[in-house]
Amino acid sequence: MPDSKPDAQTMIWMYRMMLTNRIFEVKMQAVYMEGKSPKFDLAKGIFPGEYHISAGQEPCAVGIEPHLLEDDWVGSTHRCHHVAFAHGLDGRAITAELLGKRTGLSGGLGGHMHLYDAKRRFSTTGIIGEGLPTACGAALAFKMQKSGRIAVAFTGDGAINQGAFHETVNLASVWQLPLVIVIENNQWAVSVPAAESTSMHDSESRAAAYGVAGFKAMNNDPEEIYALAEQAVSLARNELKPSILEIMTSRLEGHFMGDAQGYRSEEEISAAKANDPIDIHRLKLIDRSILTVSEADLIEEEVNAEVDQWISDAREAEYPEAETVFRHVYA
Amino acid sequence: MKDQLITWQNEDDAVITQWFFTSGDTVQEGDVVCEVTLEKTVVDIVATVSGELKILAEEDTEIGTNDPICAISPN
Amino acid sequence: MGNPESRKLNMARAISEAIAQEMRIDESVFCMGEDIRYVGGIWGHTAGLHEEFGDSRVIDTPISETAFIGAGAGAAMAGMRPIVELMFADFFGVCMNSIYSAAAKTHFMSGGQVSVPMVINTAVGGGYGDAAQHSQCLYSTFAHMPGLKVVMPSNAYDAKGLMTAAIRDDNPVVFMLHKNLLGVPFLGDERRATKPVPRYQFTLPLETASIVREGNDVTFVSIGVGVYHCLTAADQLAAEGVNAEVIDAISIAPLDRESIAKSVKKTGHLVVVEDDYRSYGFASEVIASVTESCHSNLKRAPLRITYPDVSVPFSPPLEDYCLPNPEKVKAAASALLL
Repeated sequence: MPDSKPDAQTMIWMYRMMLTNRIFEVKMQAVYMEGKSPKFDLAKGIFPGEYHISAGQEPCAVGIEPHLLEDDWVGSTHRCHHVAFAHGLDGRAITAELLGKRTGLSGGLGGHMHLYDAKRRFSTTGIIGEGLPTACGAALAFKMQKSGRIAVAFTGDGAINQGAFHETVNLASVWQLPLVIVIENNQWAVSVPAAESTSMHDSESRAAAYGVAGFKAMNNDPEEIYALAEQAVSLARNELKPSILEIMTSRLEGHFMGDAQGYRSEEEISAAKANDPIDIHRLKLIDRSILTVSEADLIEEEVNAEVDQWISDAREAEYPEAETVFRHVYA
Repeated sequence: MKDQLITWQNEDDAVITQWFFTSGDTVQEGDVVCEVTLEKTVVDIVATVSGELKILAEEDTEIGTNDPICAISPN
Repeated sequence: MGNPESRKLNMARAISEAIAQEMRIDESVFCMGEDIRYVGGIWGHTAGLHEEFGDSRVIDTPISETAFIGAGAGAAMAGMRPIVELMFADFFGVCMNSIYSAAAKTHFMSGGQVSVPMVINTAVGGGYGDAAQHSQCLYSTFAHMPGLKVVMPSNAYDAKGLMTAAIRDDNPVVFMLHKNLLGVPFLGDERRATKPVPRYQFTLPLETASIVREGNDVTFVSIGVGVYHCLTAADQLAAEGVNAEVIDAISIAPLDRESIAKSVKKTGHLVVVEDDYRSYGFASEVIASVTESCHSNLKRAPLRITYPDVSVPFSPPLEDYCLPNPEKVKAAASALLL
């Protein structure tokens, strides 16, 4: 299959989506830090708990989403905002969920690591590896229903060392299920580098060991990911063959907000920021005359205004009533 | 030997989050006398000599560069 | 004049000191877990260990709990004394067989031939917005398995003594770290768990509860952060002429049933306080135990203040609504003594 490329409209959509995530993450960091100064206390402020920022990993989401159809399943992890935005979840509802408000995706019950949108078949989980068997099950259902739909499971470089990864890939392979496993390899599992945690780094060999196709995107580039994702998605959708798509990506911030990253060198962090995929993508759009500088700036302005509105709506929204906790234990 | 003064030697402001001794206690050189928290990091303040401790900034006090934290009278 | 032995530690530091001192004298002790090297453990309880003992004895693992906790059990069977970490108790699902079978059942199934002297450190508790999968307590989930000892200190002094004892114990000991009590700045302001801790090594018995406040009118039994809710409620009740006895159970398994029964025989009233889900839990076991041994001493049916039978909600006012607190404890005592 020749390397396919996203058209101009898709390239612009990718830019807007990546900006949406990045601007959201930057603004929400400030919201998160409210009340957490001078002492960084997780419980304080209007956005308590943990916050895992996906800045730098945006290409992983926008490279794959254009190939998805309505009713495809998408499962993501604790580092999920970029996938949620690309998949079309409502930004206002995401923001409200992060602040635990009644207007949030789960009415405030889930929080940042537990984003759900049943209509879009989107879910996330905070337990490493949990989403893999679940996505495998969705793929099984789609095969049984003969619906032509696929499941995409996002996971990380740390998670591939969980038993659930092994079991899921084997199961999808032996049962020939329409599943694409996307490994977002940002090289870090909190403070442990991939080189020290993982023996087999060649994902094509790893995939071959399970009898599935393996793809690897090297450059954290939406176009490269788009081309490889098209192959992986097509295999799943048209041939009911699972595959592994590994994407070398970049975690621009710490594991969670509050992680001082003492285990990571200054040079590595600066190099990552100097190769910001959004800056590179924007330059491409302008160089190829897909957008002018002022059109690109206008998109950024629009996204800024939109995110500001989500945040102000979320601040004003009400909390759910206490008795809500009893309402959704059972269906 | 004169009193050893320990001050905050960091360009960022911080807050004293916990004392592990009270004024008048005897500390040993190397003891962590208190912890100071910057936004994302906890810094141990270590006794530079053994002796009697005098706290100069209580818990929850914000400290800036060169602000005094404690003094130790060597014994 | 200050007391020369008044050096205080928070619970996280007390635990790392206990581990370091034991590692200095026993080469078979080593630590395995996620992020325990450079970070000193997410909870700060292994801080300083890697600097002193290096890569061979303080080992960062991949995210492979089944494998490395199971490996801990195996290393223990082969003559080592590992301290392995299940970072959050909530993660037990991915690796429970390594804990409740490989670690817990081996001594029994081998007719006493094989021992598994390992410590499993794990963090529990919520109240800071970490939502359904990172805020659980799960005391009874672990306590329910024959063969496991389960302890949870509520203060730094106990933590050091219990950790040293746990390492030396020949059984698998689940050593629970209550996140609200560790004293790390990003997890709140609770200071009462910070206590003077002797610089020397010492042990405390693993299976024994502690009377942390004496009284004659009502018995409060609790663990972890609940102990402080009980102490606060006890102070408030004292102002009203009611004297509560507060028991820190410390050992969830085996439960110190005698100490609890002795107290209930004295007071005739029982309130059990814990932050795990209500049904099938620690509080259930305490009440069942008291009912079996001394129900005729009870003047009223016991009450339990627990988390409700719901998953932990993220939204702060909802989480607050679910958590036990001193007001709920005091109200329970007042209801009993009306």
